[in-house]
Amino acid sequence: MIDELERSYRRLPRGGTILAVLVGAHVLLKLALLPKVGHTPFVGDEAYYVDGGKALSNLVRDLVGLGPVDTAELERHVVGSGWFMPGMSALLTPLFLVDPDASTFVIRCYLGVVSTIVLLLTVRTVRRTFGDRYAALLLVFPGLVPMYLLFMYGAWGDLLAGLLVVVMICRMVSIFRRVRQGVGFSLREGASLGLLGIVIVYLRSSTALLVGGMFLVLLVALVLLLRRRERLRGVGAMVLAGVVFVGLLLPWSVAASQSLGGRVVTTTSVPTVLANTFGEYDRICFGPCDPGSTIWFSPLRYAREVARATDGDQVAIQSEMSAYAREDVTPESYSRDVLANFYAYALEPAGYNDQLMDPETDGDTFTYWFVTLVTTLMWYLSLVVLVWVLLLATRRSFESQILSVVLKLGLGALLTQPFIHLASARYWPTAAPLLALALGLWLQVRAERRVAVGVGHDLPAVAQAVGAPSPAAVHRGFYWVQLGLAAASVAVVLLVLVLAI
Amino acid sequence: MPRNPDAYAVVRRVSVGLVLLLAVALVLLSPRFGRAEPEGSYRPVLDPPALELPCYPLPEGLVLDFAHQVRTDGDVEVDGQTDGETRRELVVQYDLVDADEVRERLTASFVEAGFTPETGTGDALVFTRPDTGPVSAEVEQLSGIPDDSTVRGTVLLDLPSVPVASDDPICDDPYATKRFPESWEPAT
Repeated sequence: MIDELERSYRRLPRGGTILAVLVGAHVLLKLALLPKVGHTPFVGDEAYYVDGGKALSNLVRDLVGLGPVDTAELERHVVGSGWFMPGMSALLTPLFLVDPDASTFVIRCYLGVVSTIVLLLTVRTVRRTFGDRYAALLLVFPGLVPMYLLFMYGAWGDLLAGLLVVVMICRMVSIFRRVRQGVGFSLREGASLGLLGIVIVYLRSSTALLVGGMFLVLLVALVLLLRRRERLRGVGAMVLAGVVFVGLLLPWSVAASQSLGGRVVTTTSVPTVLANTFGEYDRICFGPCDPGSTIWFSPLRYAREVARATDGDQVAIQSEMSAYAREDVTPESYSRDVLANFYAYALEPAGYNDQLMDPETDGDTFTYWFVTLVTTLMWYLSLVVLVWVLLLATRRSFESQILSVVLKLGLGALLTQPFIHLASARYWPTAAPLLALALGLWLQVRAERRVAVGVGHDLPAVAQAVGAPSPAAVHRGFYWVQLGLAAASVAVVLLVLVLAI
Repeated sequence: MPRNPDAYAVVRRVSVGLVLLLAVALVLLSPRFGRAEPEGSYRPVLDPPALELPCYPLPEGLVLDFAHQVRTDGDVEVDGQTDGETRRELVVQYDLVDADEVRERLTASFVEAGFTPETGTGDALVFTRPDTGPVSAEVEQLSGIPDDSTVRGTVLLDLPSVPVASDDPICDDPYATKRFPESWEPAT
């Protein structure tokens, strides 16, 4: 039944044409916004990613020239303070190899081209996995959200990480489709899943929870749903995914740990983040930090000074500072801060246009208001879909069930951000591409209801599936998993609200 | 669909090969294009410790013999004085040892630098030397810290004001000297 439904999606008249038109619209709108953002100096963390890219390009030069490697430069600009993983720096490296003195405009154009390529590759994967309709939605959201297009010229990795999370969801769904028939997946697919996972984490380290969580869920599903040789094969592939993930994470962890003199796995920022988000500013440096700077740089300088004075490790000292600053945190104060973060995270979607456009010259222009209003409208509509998908428990089809579960897990993992981090509109691009899939799911569930799709248990019996849970049992299980996840979301929201008010 | 289904595969392989070749060529040529110069705004070089700068030294011979970091330094007007007389107020934090040991080490350091201990009021340690007059040090342990805390407390030193002792440009950098202008806002 579902296959028929899918086929009917694919038979949509001129599916390919619609996609081509949307791609064209994306490119045109993006080009139209370029003059506004192309010359904007790098904002905040962008400066780090650009410096990291320059240092990495010098590393390549040193390696190619067989000369000595400038480790001091790498420590200072790639590891830096260990706040970020260098995924975006690596992405910028090819540009700096060719043009070491690239201007801001050239760098932003390069980022714009790369992000469109990643968007199109993601659209291709989504089209293959879910069909034209989902692909078209992704081209609209994020592909036509003006604020997103501005971000696409930025050096932050949030957006690209979000797109690759969508690719990972596609992979997981295809794997689940086969697992449902009792068939595992190959080592090669496992390796590529691990590679995808680590690339996402390098681009935006806060996705580590999502990637780790997804891997874990997949592993549990394989163990529960597969039997005998297929189970072994699936678990083997997952182990390989883990090995690839850890193997590619290690070079960074080792380099960062050695450079900073403490144990660093992904980044060092969590203690400072927690202190700044939930602690008291005038206790972070065991008293107030140096004035005249930011709550990010002042505590860092202090930690480095203490580490130097005590011959200690600045990462551990940041943890001590954080604990001291958060001594008086109560569940109530924590909940209030979480709510404030949610507000900044989700309710000011165009909050960054003041940074990416020049408010002095662009403040009251048509483009400025176009970006602000269209983004706000699109984002609020997508928020409705977000709430819907978090609460959805469908029994219609396996296809919608599995997407519902994976989206809940993914969005849940990404929505932990306001629980640990001072949030801002800059972080939502990671979660937003998932909302295109959620909107697709909404349309799919509606269609299934309309044509009264029942539960399809007519799977061909595969020899490997002997002894595996029956399709009906899997179906029931997925229903309960959805209910559980929806209930958990509601419980968390209620708890935060009750404590905060 | 192309007539020959393998045509796509061939085209694809050839283009991937070409892209790879181009990439290798660019990598090999990259040293010729010059080196990139990172700006380094995200990891500034750390200034030397404030008391090791030539700017505002401690009274001659005095060395703080415990792990510490200067938090603020500066001159404050003395209460009740109208002639604008100022005293130097130096706040340092001590690390790794507790208040009693800091008091002992401070006393030893002051004595070694030629100061004579005097009886002070309250908890403050008071010392004097002919060239400086009386100076004092108040040691206060932080409350609510774990036993193995790195940072343990503060020492407030009351010293005679000194003029800047060097024309090194670093003496104008408040982050180095910890003499912050009052107009500077707290970190936000």
